[in-house]
Amino acid sequence: MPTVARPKPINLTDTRLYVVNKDNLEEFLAEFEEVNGNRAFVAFSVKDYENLALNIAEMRRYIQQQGEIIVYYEEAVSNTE
Amino acid sequence: MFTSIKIAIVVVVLATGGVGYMYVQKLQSDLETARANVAKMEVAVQTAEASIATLRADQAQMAELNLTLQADLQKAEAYGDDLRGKLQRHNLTNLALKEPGQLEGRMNGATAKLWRELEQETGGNGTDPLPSWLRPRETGTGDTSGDGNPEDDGADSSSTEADQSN
Repeated sequence: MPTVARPKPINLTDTRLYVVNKDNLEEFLAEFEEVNGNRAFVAFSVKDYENLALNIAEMRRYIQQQGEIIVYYEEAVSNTE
Repeated sequence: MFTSIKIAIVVVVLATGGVGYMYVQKLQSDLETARANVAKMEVAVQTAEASIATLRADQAQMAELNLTLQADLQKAEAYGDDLRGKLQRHNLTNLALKEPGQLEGRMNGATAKLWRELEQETGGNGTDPLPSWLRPRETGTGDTSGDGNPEDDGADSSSTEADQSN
């Protein structure tokens, strides 16, 4: 039984994080404005950053396991031919 | 009278012979049928045995595939487990207050590596050059983590965001 082609690989774009506290806040604002031309940014608390990292880890687990299950079925189908 | 007895005996003998002949013919016919049936049953048994052997082989193969699948599914838990362990061991808030630059370098390095690993895991090459904020400085010695430690290539998702012990 023929198996279908896998989807196109994901293509991710790099993201930059800044760690800011009261001591380096001014330095951050200056550098950020120099790089981005404004002072608009999205901030996460440390806890929310941890949650985001855990959420990504969970999605990664799901993708990997889904891939393994696809490989399992592909091998099972090819073995029964 | 004597002639009649003779005729009767001949008739009886002939009739017995005829019946015997027919009986033998019937026996031979039954024997042929039985032989044909036996041959068919032998073929059926061989087919059934071959099917059983195939089923057993398939079952063994599926059991092996299942074992491999379970192991692979378990492996996929490793990254999350590792990350959870590191987040529990390290206080990121404390690190952000004390060493924001070092933590930032590790976070960015780990994030860049994670994106590349995800690309590889979905069939891509994951070999994009590191972003400018992670490239070694001209005066640097190859530290891509941004934490100033040339021994540490912080672009290592297994030493994820929280790892300060390495």
